[in-house]
Amino acid sequence: MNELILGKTDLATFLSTLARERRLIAPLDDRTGASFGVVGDVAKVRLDYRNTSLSAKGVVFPQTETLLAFRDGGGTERIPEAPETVLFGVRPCDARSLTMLDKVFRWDGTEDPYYLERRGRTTVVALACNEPGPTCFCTSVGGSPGDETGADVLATDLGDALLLRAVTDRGEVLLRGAGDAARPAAAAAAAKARELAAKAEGRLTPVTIPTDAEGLVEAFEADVWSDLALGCLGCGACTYSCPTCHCFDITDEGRKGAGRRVRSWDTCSFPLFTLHSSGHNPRPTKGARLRQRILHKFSYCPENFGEAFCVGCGRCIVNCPSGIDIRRILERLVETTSKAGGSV
Amino acid sequence: MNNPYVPYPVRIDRITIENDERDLKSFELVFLDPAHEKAFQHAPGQFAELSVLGTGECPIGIASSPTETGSLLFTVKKTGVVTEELHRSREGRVIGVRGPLGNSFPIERMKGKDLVVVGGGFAFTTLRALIRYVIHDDHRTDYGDVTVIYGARNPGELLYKAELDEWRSRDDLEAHITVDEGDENWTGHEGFVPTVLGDVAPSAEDALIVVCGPPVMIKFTLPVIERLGFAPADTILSLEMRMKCGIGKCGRCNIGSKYVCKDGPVFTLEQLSGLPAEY
Repeated sequence: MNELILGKTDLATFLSTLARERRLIAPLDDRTGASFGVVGDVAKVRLDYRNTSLSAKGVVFPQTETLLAFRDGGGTERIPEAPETVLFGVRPCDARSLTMLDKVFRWDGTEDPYYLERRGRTTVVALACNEPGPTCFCTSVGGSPGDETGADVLATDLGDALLLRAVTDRGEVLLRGAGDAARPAAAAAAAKARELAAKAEGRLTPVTIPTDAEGLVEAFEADVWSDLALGCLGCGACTYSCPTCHCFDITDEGRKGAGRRVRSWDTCSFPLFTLHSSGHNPRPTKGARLRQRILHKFSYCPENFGEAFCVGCGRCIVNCPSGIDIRRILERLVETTSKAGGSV
Repeated sequence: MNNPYVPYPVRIDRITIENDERDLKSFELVFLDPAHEKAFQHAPGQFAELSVLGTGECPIGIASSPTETGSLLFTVKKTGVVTEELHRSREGRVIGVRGPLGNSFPIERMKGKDLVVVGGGFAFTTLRALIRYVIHDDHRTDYGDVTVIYGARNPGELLYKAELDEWRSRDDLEAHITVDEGDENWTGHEGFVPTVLGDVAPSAEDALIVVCGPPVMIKFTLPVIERLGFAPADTILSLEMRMKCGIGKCGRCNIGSKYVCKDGPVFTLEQLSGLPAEY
C-alpha cells in the first residue's frame, strides 16, 4: 500500500477514523480565511484555502507554553503530555518548515524536550498546492507545490477525490489504520497529481535568492538596510506569521510563592530583544533588526544548518502593514552581493 | 531526556559585598543534591543561568575554578530585575543554577605557555576562575609565567580584595593591581589598565593573553596588545550578550552565524575579526 484514492464524499468518514485514536488538527474557518484548530466536527474541515493565515508551527512550538511550574522555591518540569496528533492539510511549504525547526531544536546535540515531545507525536498530512497565491515563491527557495519534505503523507486534491501517498513509515501506518474509505489508487491518479503539481509550479514567479556566502557576509556592511527598513513599524507580524522563525523569550509568571516559567514567541524586530541591562543594544536601529531577520534566514542558517530558513510561503509579505516585501529585499541583496564582487 | 531548561536547586551559602557602592555581591552557592554537583562539571570561562523562580534567569560567568569544590561562586552586579532580586536575597535562600553553559578559556592550549591575564572592573570574575585554576597545585607546573594586570575605578571597586593581597605575595604569580584613582589608604599603583599593560610589557613569545573588561578598556587595550606582539589568534576575549535559553535556540545572542551562548562566550581576536561588528 503506497497510494490511496479517497472520494471527497468519504472524507468525513476518513477523518473521523483518524480522529478516533488521535487528536486531529486541520484547517478550519477563521472568518478571514482558514487556520489550524483541533477538529470537533469533521464536516468543518476545509480544503478550499490557498494557505492558512498562520503557519502550523504552533502545533509543535506553541505561541506560549509552560516550561516549569514552581511552588515555594521548588521547580518541577512540565513536559507536555502531547496526544498523538494528525496535522492534516498542511501546505508543502509549512511541512518543509518543520524539518528546519527540527534542526534548531536538536542543534549540536542539545535536544529541546518540549518541542521534540510534540513533534514526535505528530503525523503530518500535507496537501499539495494546486493554486499557489500571488505572494508564493516556494520553488525559489528549494520547495515546490507538490514537495513531500516534512510530510508523512502527501495528499493531492484531484477535484472529486484526494490522492493520498505515504511518504514515511509513519504515513504508511496512518493510512493503514484509516479504514476502507480509501481504496488503492490507479496509476492515472498519480499522473494527474504530477500534472497538477507541474501546472502549479508554472504559475509561480521566480525570485532570485542570494546564495553567495561571501557576498552575504559583506552585505552586513551594506548601506541598504536603513533604507529597506524605512517603512518598518517594528511590529513583528512578519516573524510571528513566519513558519521558520523560532526565536523565543522565557519569562516567569505568577507570585513568588507559586507560578510558572513560560516561553513565548519573540521577535528580532523588537528593540528590547537584544537590549542589555547596561543600556547597550547591539541592534539599536530598525535597519540592524531587519538585517538580522534577513541575514539570519539567508546567511546564518545556511552556514549553520545547510539551508536558507525560508520556505516561500509569502506570509510576511501578506501580513506586513507597511507593505515590505521580502522578495524585493532579496533582489536588492542580490544586487548588493554581486556588486560586492562575490565569487559565485 | 535530560531537560536543559530545568535549573539545579542551590542554596546561597554566603554573600560577600564586594564594593562600597554595594551593587556588587558575590554568592557562594551549594548544591542541594550531591548528584547535581557531580553533574555540573565546568571549566574556567564558562557561565551559567542563575534562576530565581518567580523572577527569572540571567546569565552570569562562573567566578570559581573547578578546583574549588563544594560550592560555586558568582559575582553579580545589581543592574536588572533578576540581579536586583538576587541582591535582596539572604544567606540560606534556595535559588537555581542552570549550566554550565558555553565554551571555556583554552586551558589545554595554554599549557606550556606564559599567560597574561588582563582584567578591568567587575568583568574580572571568570578571569579569577582561570587564575585560580592555573595556580592550583595540580596545574601550576603545566603553565609558564603568569602575569595578572587588574584594574578598577577606585580601590573600593576591586573584586576579591583579600585574594588579591594573597596573590601579590606569591612568587609564582606576578600581580599588578591598579586603580584609576586611589584614596588616602591606597599604596598601590594608579593608572589605567592599558598604560600599566604597556609599562609591564610582558613578552608575547610563547604566550597567550586573555582580556576581559568594559568596552572602553578593551578598546584602548587591544592596540597595546598588538604593539606587544600578541597575534590575534593568541589574544583571547570573553563576550557578554543578552540571553534567554543559553543553549543556542532562543536566537538573540548571535553575532552573525555564531551564538555567544554556545560558540562563545570565549573567542580569539582572530575569530572576532571574522564576525560582523554587532556586539
